[in-house]
Amino acid sequence: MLKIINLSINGTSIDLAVDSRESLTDTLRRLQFTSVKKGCETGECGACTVLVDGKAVNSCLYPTVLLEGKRILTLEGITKPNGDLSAIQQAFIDEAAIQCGFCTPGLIMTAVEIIGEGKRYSREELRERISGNLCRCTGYHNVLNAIEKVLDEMYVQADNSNFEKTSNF
Amino acid sequence: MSDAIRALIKDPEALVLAGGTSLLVNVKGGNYGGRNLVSVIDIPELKGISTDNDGNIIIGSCTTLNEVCSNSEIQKRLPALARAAKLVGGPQTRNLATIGGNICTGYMSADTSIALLALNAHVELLGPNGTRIIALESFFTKPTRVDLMPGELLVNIKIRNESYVGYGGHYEKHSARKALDFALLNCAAQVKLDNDRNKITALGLAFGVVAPKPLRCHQAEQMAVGMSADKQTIELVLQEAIQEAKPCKDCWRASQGYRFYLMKKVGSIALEQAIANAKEVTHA
Repeated sequence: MLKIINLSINGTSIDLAVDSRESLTDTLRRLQFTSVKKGCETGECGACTVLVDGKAVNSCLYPTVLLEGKRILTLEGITKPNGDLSAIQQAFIDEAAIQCGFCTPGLIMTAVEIIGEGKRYSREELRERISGNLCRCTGYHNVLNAIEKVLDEMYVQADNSNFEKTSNF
Repeated sequence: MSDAIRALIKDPEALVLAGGTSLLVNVKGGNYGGRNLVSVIDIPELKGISTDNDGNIIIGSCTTLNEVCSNSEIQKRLPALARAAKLVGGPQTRNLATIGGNICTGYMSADTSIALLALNAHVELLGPNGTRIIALESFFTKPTRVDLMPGELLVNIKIRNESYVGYGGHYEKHSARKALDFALLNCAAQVKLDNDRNKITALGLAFGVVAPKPLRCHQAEQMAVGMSADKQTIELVLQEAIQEAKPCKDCWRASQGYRFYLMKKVGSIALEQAIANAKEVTHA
């Protein structure tokens, strides 16, 4: 059954006709947001992770029809309009946190949620925070380095008393 | 809520969809073909955490697991429940999964089910014939089955004042992976000590994956009352608990013997930590 819903994807409001059985992963991929990957399609690997109203979710388990009025953020939405990479993407490159790259969009979206929380995390806590994203290549070491690097840089730059939850990175 | 109940009555084959992290995985696996889903996740009366005037804690069934484990009241008063909620799946799972959904799977391994059993939790159900409040223990009827009549919704979970105030609690989960895994065996313990912090005055003890349903160890609990809070007592309590357990004989995940072994190990950790926490608790 087709339903029409309105939602915002990477800042653009869009009216969509979706089958009530379609997952957000499938919707996003057919709209050419192919950074969203299908790893397991059962919420066990995190490759399909996107942000819905700022919260990281496995889009494979989210029926799109339930997303009326929500704001979705994918990897395509954090690359700057002129093509420049965001700080977290650059950090992943600089810290060699990418090998095959399949888990990378999901990991970066999880990192975006973490950074947006405005809290400091120990390395152990960060391990727990990324435990919903599986990576078969890197062993997570450089991934943690990249996220720590961005968190550290932000704390050096930001005035702590003014620090808000933000999606600028 | 009334719309949801009406939809469920109108279509007896329909299933309740909360976070979808369990149900939709089953659907994708080919189960429940052709059945309609009634989404209840956005019903406001099913969300939120509050404490009433008598100090009873009420958690809406559609409160996400992340909302439960990050809630400061839950962290302060029900730390074992916060820990259990935090150990379900992974961070993304917990942004969608709900505490009501976790219980309603009826799984013998469900983390919040075990923690809530030790807290003697009660569930409030609403259906076409009105409201029912029953003990969580009776809510689990058969393996993967809960006591929901046609058209009934799980509204909230209530933890009574007398079940948690002055108690120290701990939830321990043993699983093959540190995240994204069901429990191989889990245990929740809630301990209350006398004023000298020497003797146990009350115990809530629950195990998962040692019986077809989540197990509350009543005999072990009663036996512990009046005993001193030490390793010897823990051993005796666990021996008693093992008598009450019925782990499946040929389970592919772990042999029966291994489960009895784990009951002792995991149960010890849970009880030791609960006792340590109970010693720190100020009697309110």
